[in-house]
Amino acid sequence: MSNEKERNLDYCLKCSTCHTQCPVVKSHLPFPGPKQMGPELERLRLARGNKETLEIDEALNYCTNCKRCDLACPHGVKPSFYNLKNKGKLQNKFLIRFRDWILAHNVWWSKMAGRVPALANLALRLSLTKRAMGMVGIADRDFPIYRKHPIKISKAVRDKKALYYAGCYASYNEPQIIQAAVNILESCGYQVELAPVACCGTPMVSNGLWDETARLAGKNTDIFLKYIEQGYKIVTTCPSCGLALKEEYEQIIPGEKSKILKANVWELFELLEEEDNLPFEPAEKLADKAYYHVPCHLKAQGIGIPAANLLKDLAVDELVVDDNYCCGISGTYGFKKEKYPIAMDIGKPLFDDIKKSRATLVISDCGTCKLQIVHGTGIEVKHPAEILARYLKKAQ
Amino acid sequence: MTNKVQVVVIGGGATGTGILRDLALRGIDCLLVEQNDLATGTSGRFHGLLHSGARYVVKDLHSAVECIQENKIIKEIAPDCVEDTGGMFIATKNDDLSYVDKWLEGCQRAGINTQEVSPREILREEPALTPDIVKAYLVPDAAVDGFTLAAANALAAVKLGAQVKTYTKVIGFKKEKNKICGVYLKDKYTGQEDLVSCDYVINASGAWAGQIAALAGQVINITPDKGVLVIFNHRITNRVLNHLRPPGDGDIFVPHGSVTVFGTTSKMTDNPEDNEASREEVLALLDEGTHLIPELKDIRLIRAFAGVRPLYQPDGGEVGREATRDFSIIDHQALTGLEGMISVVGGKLTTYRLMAKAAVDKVAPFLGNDKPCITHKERIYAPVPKNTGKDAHYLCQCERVTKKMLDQAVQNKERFSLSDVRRLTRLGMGPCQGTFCTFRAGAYYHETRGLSPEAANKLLKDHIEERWKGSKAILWGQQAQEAQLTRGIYLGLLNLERLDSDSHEI
Ligand SMILES: Cc1cc2nc3c(=O)[nH]c(=O)nc-3n(C[C@H](O)[C@H](O)[C@H](O)COP(=O)(O)OP(=O)(O)OC[C@H]3O[C@@H](n4cnc5c(N)ncnc54)[C@H](O)[C@@H]3O)c2cc1C
Ligand code: SF4
Ligand code: SF4
Repeated sequence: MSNEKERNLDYCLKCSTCHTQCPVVKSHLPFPGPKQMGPELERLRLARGNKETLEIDEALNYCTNCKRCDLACPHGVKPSFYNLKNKGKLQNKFLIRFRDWILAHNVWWSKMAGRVPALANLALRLSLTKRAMGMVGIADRDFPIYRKHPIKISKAVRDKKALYYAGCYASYNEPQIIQAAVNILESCGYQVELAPVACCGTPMVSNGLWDETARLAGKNTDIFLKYIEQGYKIVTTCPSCGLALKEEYEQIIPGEKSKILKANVWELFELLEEEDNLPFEPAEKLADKAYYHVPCHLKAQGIGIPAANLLKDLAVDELVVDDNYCCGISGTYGFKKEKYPIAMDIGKPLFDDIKKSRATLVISDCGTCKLQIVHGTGIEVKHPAEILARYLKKAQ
Repeated sequence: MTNKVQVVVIGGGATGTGILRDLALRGIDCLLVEQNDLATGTSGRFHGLLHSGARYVVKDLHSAVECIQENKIIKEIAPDCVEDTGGMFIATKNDDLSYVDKWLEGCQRAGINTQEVSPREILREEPALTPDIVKAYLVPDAAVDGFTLAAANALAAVKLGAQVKTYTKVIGFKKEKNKICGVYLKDKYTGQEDLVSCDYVINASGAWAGQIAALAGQVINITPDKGVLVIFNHRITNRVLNHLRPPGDGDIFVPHGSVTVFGTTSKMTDNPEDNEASREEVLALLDEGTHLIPELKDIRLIRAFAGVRPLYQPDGGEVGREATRDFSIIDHQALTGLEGMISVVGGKLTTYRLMAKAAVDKVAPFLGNDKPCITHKERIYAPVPKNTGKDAHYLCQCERVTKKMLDQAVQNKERFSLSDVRRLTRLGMGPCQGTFCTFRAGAYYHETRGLSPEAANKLLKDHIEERWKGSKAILWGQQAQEAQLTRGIYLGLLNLERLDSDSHEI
């Protein structure tokens, strides 16, 4: 003790507002909730020299890092910060650690699978693979499909420069999102470059690998800062990657560098809101009725839902926008055997709401939300960039 | 209760309960009377530092030697009451460094181990400290919980057959010729008066010792000395932090469980019950504290209070910080010829056991008892063990107080207030200061103890009022917001002011 971030436990008035907004509390009663796991217990952890964990900290494994508690707190406390930090100190059982480590390093597996997608996809569907995964605690559910797709980027030099950071999911599973984002940025007059950065670290930190994430965050930040110095804006389309750069890095590696990075990161449609002339034109609508599921980590960025108006104007007749629900998957959480039923229970109200809306298309920015919604409803889910790229003016 | 005992001990602080245990261990039949609950006097309103003695080495070497000896013993016999945090003395670039040499020499003479650490290393371990450190030393200070200590001593004595009467006030003495042979008592709840006959009285009433002596027609020159303390919401440093300079105001931080207790001041008062801190006193303290913890004013305060030191000057000598922290045993027979009574005055909580030993050594021969003191040999235990496990049936979440602890705290008690429960469990001592646990605890006792709604309401009302008292001097920032929330719940939602509670007994 005591730096600014840690001291914010002093702002907690115990009002329990965060507790009422935690999706895990609703679905898994034994979870003590953000107020208790965060500012409340942190005082007692400090009382132990901030070194040992408390016995009750095991429950931290159940926090999904959805950040709804941070948003709910009327006094500026960020309970999820304490959860992430203390998860890193837990000594879990070996098998769980092994499983979490595998899930945390999805970027490695993805890289390998990305080289030979067909083989990897086949392997993931084999019952033998599923049995093996079951034994280490990975839930029996469909995994994302690996796809390869060459990206076309213009070489023209322009004044406006964007460094597009796609993140793991788009890179390995839906490269068409990357192409869509590049096209949109180029139509807005940007010279685009793809960020030479692999994983942002979110899967690692939510699996309790705090120190490793800190090293990675430091490395990534240095790369981003080099581009920022040359006048690049950092642009993201993955809500979790965006939130990591905007907020989590500042918590994990506090200091000047992460502050500068934070100030230069834009969500794609957040950036578009600043453009005077948007490069879109009307075309045939994609759906009569669509349901926009706002991912928790987009909501947590505090930028509203910048894609919603464009979607309404261009792509669908009727758009239901809802940010009340967490889908439950929370990155790698819903892939864990013991958490799978909780993840599905958390997602159920969302699945029901989508079904009730009778929408034929679901729109969401987050790759893992997409997996979960398809799993829970069977309805098609698309990224807003993928949709809006269809409406770019042809002349350009 | 039997109306005859060998010894009546007056005062349920550290000294009185320590004496009771010492008497009981020597097989002497004894009774302790305390006008409120145990440790509601200075022993519950102090800094919580188990002194290594290092603070006193320059001015008061004798006290320092006693402290370090007792420090070792108390850590051994009362681990439930002590947290061995270790302590540090820090000198900054604005301090007079010639004092450091004197201090080191004193520590050596007193036999207090000091270990120098580099400013860089101490800053790494204690990042809240000022970067202006020039010298840093580690000493064997520790934190001690006065509530638990008094309760643990009393419990040990009761197990050996001693009796304890709380909420019982001494209102006079019965004398025969020039000898005390009984004590008149008054029950604070019922108002009923009573006489207990005895062979001897030990006056261990701290800052009240002058008043008690006066009841027996004796004069003792006690100069009550008020000290203000504040409590921060969390631990600022992991070790006890002392400013390495001549003892003054605002130079000690004691990490205490989940909080930090910071103080103190020194000001003469004429009333031992003068225990409220003022806003000005708190602000002056904070100014001092920023020399060691630059960000101090940004850290949330949850409470301010004051305690009164029972300083004793045999012939009206020095007062305040210049006064000795030694203790004295006043033999009234030697002074005025009054038989059957001694008074134990002055001292510190750290040396309570030594004071008890000296007192009982003095009294035992009159009772024909020649057993030696063995209080340093046996462990004492907290009546309510802390909750360290997974038990999540909390009634107080800030301090993780469980239903089971609430049961243990009132075991064998006919009547109690939530403050009594608080002293044993830390119920309501966290940042919300009872906002969320008070109504739960009231309801819990209503259910489990069959309290009438009126009686449960009284528990609730008294506790909220008591917690409010400690907030008044620090109502700004976060604690002011908390107080608004408390008001909303108790005055708005629960209509506390009109709760039907006053006309009923518990
Ligand atoms: C601000 C402050 C900080 C301090 N910090 C420290 C520290 O860090 N470390 C340390 O070692 N010491 C410290 N001290 C000193 C220490 O707290 C006291 O020396 C010690 O607690 C005195 O204990 P006691 O039992 O003698 O007195 P008390 O605890 O005051 O006990 C006397 C009891 O007698 C009772 N009583 C009075 N009149 C009657 C009556 N008529 N009938 C029945 N009962 C009666 C009172 O209610 C009271 O409970 C501090 C003191 C102060 C004021
Ligand atoms: S981050 Fe989400 S799951 Fe974790 S405590 Fe906060 S609200 Fe609950
Ligand atoms: S963290 Fe915020 S929302 Fe949660 S209890 Fe504390 S003040 Fe209320």
